[in-house]
Amino acid sequence: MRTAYTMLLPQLAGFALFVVVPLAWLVYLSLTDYSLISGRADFIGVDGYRETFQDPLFRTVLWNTAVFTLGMVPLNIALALALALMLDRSFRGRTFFRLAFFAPVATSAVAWALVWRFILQGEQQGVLNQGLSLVGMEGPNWLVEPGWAMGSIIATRVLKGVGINMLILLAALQTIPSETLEAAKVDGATPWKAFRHVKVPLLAPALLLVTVITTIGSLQVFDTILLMTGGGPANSTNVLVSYVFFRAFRTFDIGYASRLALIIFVISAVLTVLQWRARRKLVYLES
Amino acid sequence: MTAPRNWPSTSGAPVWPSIVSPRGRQVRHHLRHRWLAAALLMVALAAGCVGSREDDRAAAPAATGGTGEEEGADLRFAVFIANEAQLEVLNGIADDYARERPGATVTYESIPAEEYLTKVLLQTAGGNAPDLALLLERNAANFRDSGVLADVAPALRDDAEYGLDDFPDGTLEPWQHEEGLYGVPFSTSPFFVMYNEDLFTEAGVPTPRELFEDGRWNWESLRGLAAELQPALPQGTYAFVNTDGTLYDQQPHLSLEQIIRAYGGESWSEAGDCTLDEPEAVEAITLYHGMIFEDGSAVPPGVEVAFPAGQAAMTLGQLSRLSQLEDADFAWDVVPLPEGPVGQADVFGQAGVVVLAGGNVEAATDYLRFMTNEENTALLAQYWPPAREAVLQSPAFAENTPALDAERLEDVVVTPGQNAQPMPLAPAYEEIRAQMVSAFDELWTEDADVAEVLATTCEAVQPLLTP
Repeated sequence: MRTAYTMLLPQLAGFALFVVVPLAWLVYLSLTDYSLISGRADFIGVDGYRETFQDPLFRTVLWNTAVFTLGMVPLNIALALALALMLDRSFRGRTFFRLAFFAPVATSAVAWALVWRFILQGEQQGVLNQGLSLVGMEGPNWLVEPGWAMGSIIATRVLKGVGINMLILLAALQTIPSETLEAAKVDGATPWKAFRHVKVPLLAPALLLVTVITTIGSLQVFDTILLMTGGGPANSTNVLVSYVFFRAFRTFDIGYASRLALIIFVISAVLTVLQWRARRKLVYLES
Repeated sequence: MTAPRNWPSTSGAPVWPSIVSPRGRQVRHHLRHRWLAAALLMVALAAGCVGSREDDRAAAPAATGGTGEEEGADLRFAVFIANEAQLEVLNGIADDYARERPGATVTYESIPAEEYLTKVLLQTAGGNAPDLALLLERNAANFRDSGVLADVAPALRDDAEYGLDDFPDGTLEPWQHEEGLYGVPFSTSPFFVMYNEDLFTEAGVPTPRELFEDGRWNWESLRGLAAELQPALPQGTYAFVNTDGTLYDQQPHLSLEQIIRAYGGESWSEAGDCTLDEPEAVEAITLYHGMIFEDGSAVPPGVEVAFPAGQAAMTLGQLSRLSQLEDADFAWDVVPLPEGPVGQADVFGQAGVVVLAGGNVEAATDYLRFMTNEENTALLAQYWPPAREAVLQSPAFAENTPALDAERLEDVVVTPGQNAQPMPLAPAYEEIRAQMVSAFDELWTEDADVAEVLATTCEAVQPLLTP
C-alpha cells in the first residue's frame, strides 16, 4: 500500500502546489480590495461580495453565462448525437466525414475565432452575408446586433466542439452489441423506439460524460468571446470568465476579479455534483 | 473454483497487483529513500521560489547618496516600442548617458502594446518594478493617484539648464497634479487627417488638400467630400474609417474627441462634469452618425477596414501611424484636422516618461533629466513629436523627420502643436472608457436618438468622474 501512496506523491505534491495553494490564495484575495495599480490589499471581508452582488453588470454577466451554457450544451450534444448516429452506419466516404467533423476540434481556437469574425462581418463584407444575399436574404450584422451576437458565439463554439463529443458518442455507439439491436427489431421496435429505449440507455454513461465535460467547458469559454466581440455589443456577450479578465487586466481590480473567479469555481462544482448525482437516476450501467 | 487474487472483485473495487520481488524488503527500503529525496526536492523548490521574491523586494528601495555620483546604476526602462530603427535611437541615448556616467547602464525592455500595462504592473507587484517606463497620458492620473509614480518636480523645476518652461502648459497638463510633476512628455502627437490620394484622383473628386488650401476644410465639407466619393469607390472600400478602427470596441475618444472639440464641446470638463449631453457634443456626434448611417461613407460597426491596406480614403492619425504607410502601394498625403464652428481645435495624444516609485528613483530621475533635455529631445524628434517649443520650432526638426517633409510637418505637427489640447483625462479613465463603449453600442444603430443615448451615457459615466 505504501508504494501506492509513494507513486501518488509527485502528483499530489503538484496538485497541492498548483491547485490547492492558489485556490486558498484566491479565496484570500477575494476578501480584499487588491488593486494591481495601488498594490494595496486591504481586507474587506464580505463587503466585497456584497458589492459584487449589487453590481448590475454582474447580474447581466451571470444571465449571459446562463444563456450561453443553456444554449450551447444541449445544442452541442444533440448535434453530436445526431452526427454520431449518422456516422455509425457504414457508407462510402464515412471516414472523410468523420475527419471533417473532427477537424475543427484540432484547429487553433484563436484562428477559428478570427476566421469566423471575418466571415460574420456585417453589410456585404462578410462571406456569410454575401452567401445569403445570393439566395435573396439579407443577413444581419451578426456580431454587432445584441441578440445575434450571442447566437453567433454559441454557433461558433458548437461547431468547434461538436467533433470531440461526436467521437466519444460514436465510440460508445460501437460498443452496443448488434445482437441487442437485432433483438429489438425482432420484437417489433420502430427505429425511433429502438433509439429511445435501447440506444439511449446504453449510451447513458457516455452522454453523462459528454454533458459534464461540455458544461464545464462552456463555463470556461473566453478566447472566442474576447476575439469575436470583446464582450459587446452592450455587454451582451460578456460572460463570467471574460468579465474576470476585464476586471483583472483592464481595470486591474484583482480583488473583484478573484471574487468572480471563486463564483465560477463554485458554480462549476455545483453543476458537476448535480450532474454526478443525476447519474444514479439516469445511468443504468453504473455498478 | 476460486478467482485468482488479482482479478477484479465483484464489488467493483480495483485490486492493485502487489509488487512482489525476490528482494522483498530491500526494494521497499530503496523506494523509501527515493520518496524522501522527492519530498526534499519539492520543499527546496518551494523555498527557492519564495526566497527569490523576498530578495527582489529587498533590492528594490530607492538609491541612497547625494548628487554628483560618479558611479551609475543599472536602470530598466519599459517601452512599448518595437520598431528597430526607433529602438536604435533610444539605445543611442542610453550609450551617451553611459559615457557621462561611468558604470550606468540603461536597458530598454520592449513589451508589446496589448500587454504593456499588465506586464509593468505585475512586475511592480512582484517587487521587480522597472525604474522608468513610457506611459500614455490617459493612464497617468490613475497611476499617479495609486502612488505608482514618483514626483520629479523637485529635480526638474529648479534646474535652469533643463528648462522645464520650454514645455507649453497644455503639454504638461496630464502629468501635473497640484504642485507635483509625475512625468515628462516623450511624444506629443497632434491628430491630423491622412488620405489615400489615388482614390480621390481616380474618382475625379477634389482631395482634402485642395479644400484645405482653398480655406474650405471643415467637418461639413469633409462629410460632403466623403458622400461624393463613396459611390465611386469599389465594394468594401469606405470614404472614411475611424482612428485605427478602434471607435466601436475600444477607444471612442480617439475618433470622436476631435469632432467634439471642433464643435466647441468636450467629453467632460476639467472639473469632472460629463458634457457629452451638451448641444455641442450632440451636434458633433450626430454629424458622424449621419456619415455612417445616412451617407454610408464611414465604416459601420462590425466591418474590418484598414487604411494602410487601401480600404479607406480618409482616416485620422498621428505621426507614428505614418510608419505603417512606408510599404503602402498608393499615394497618400496629410492635412490638418478640419475646422468646426469654433474654428481650429487641435488635439494631441501623448506618451510620457515616468519614474516608477518602486524602482531606483534617484538614478532614474537623473536619466529622465538627461533623456528629455533639449539635445536629446531633438534626437528623439525624428520619430516622436516634441513638446519642447525650442525643438518644435527648430528647422532641424522640420528637416530630420523621415515620415514627412518640412512643409507637411509644419502643417500637421508644428502648427497644431502650439495650441493642441490633451485628450480627456480622468483617474478612472479605463472604467469610464469601458462604460462609454458599452453605452455607445446603443448609439451605433440606424435609428438611434443621439441626444438620448448621450444623456444615458453621461448618467452612467458621471459617478466615475466624481467619485
